[in-house]
Amino acid sequence: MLRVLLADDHSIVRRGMRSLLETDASIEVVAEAADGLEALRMCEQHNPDVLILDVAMPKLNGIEVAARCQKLAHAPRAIMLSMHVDESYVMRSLHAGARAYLLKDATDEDLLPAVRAVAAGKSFFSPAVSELLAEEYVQELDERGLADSYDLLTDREKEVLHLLAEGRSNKEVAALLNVGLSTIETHRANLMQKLNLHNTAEIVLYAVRKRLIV
Amino acid sequence: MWHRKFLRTWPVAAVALIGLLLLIYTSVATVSRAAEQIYSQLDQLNTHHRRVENTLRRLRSDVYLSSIFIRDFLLDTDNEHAAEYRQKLQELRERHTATVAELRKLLPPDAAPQLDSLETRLDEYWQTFDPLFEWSMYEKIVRSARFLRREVLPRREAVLTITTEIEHLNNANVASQRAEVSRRLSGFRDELHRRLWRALLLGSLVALIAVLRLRALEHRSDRQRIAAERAEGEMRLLSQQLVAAQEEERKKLTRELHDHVGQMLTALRMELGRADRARHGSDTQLAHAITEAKRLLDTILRSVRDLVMGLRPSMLDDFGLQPALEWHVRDFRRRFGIHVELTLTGDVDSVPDQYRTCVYRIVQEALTNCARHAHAKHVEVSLLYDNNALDLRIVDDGVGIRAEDARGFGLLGIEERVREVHGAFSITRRAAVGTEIHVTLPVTTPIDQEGNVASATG
Repeated sequence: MLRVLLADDHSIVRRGMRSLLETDASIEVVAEAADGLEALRMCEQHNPDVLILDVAMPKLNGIEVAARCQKLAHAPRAIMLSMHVDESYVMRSLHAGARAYLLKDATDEDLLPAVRAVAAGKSFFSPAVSELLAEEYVQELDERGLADSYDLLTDREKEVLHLLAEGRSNKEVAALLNVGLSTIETHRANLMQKLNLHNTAEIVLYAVRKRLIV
Repeated sequence: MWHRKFLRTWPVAAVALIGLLLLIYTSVATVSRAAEQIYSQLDQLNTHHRRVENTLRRLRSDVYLSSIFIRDFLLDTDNEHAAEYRQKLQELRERHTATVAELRKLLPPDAAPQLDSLETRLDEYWQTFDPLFEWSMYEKIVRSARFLRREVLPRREAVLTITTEIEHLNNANVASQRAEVSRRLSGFRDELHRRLWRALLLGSLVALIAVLRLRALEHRSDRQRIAAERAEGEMRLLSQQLVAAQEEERKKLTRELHDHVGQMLTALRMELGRADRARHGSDTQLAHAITEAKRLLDTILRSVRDLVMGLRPSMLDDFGLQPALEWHVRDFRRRFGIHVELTLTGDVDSVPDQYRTCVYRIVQEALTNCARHAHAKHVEVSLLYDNNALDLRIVDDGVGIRAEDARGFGLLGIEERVREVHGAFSITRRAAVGTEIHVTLPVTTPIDQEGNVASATG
């Protein structure tokens, strides 16, 4: 049973999401919260597997709630719901440890796939979001006359990038590729240097922009 | 008060000044004329006095001369020169008559009795001599001494006495005339003083009026200046309030759209999904209608989102200035295809709220101008924040702003926003191409909390 916590300051939206989630028998909505602080309290209280957070909430915004919940012993996987298709929201959400970023008006289609994806340890982005980020990336490269640095990566580095972007840890990637942890760490460091990336959130964002993950 | 039709004082002042100058001029003219008169009078007086004295002296010397002639005649025993003496005496007598006539002309009428008496004495004196020429030799010798002593000398003395009297009279006359002149001189001095005082008085009056008037005018101009400044301040305050009210209204509208319309549309979208799932598999018509409704709803949601972001981007309140500017630049690039280089230096996200909105709106306005009017291809936006001041510079490579447009195109709005936070704003057309907008804002509010990141709006 997948235990889910719903946090949105609009009861009408919460109700819609709950009824949608309850169509899946393997999902249980353990609690609802109407603001950020309540969400934090509920999270501590119920230890959910998945957190569904509205970005814009009174008292404490969703991104902050996600970041704080990551510090808990049983860190839930967070899904961000937002009105905004914008890099800064996506970037901050990823920084805060969120695994999925959904556009609110696409909740109907994307919520269940997103919950299943994060439960499986993967990332998920609303198609509208990844499309836009990719579009902006290409436009930016065009304007600056820059070549895509992706082609500089070796095949092994590309594999590592894919797996990392899906949300897997270094250990998991090492196991999947059947190599040592230090090898993966080296690949990771190399690809980050080649792509000018600095942390996991940026790796995920890059992958989204490159449409490596959807 | 200042709108009252003001009395013109300059004609009055001009007339008074001209009057003053005329007064001074006439005073000087009168004084010089009077002085001239007095001097010529004194001169005349002296000349006249001398002439009277000379005449009297001549008369006296003639009298002495005649008596000398008589004595000579009497001493001349042979009568040989009798006719000659007589002739000489006759001439002297005629000269006496002429001299007296001259004296009559020279002396004032009140000297007439003395002159009459002089004439009488002279006649008597001369008549004394008449019988002498009838005398014989003998008579001359016998009677001359006695005649001279008895007849001639007393009469001569009488004449001389009279002339002395006349001399005294003349002196007295001169003295009185001198007194008259000096009286006139003092009168003239008094007149001079009076005129001087009058000129001084009039001058002081003119000066006083001028000073008072000047003071009144200065007060009036001060009042006008103060009123104008106050009016300008009120105008500024009004337009600042307008800007603030607009911002507040936008915030409210944004919240309303986001919190209610947006959320309800989101819920509706999910309800549609539920309806879609609940329908019977075969009902293709309903499936089509639901798909259509979803599509429509998506369009509406996108419009609402764009509207909300256009009114006030949520990142400004959710994350701070940097994400908001980054979003705006990206959005702008997508819409207009104009490349924007954004350089942020310093902890831009900790900028206090009022400055945050101000900077965001300025960048927004400036970029809109770049796209709409400047036809720029490349824009550089750089913002520097050092906790004391914000320095914002927006440089484009467009056609450059024209002087007459400097107050239009939303620049007025920028100016008001800048003024509201006591900043400085300048816009310059660059030499080669493009326009540069430069804004500096002193940040006075101490930053006591880390922005608004943790307390986003719902």
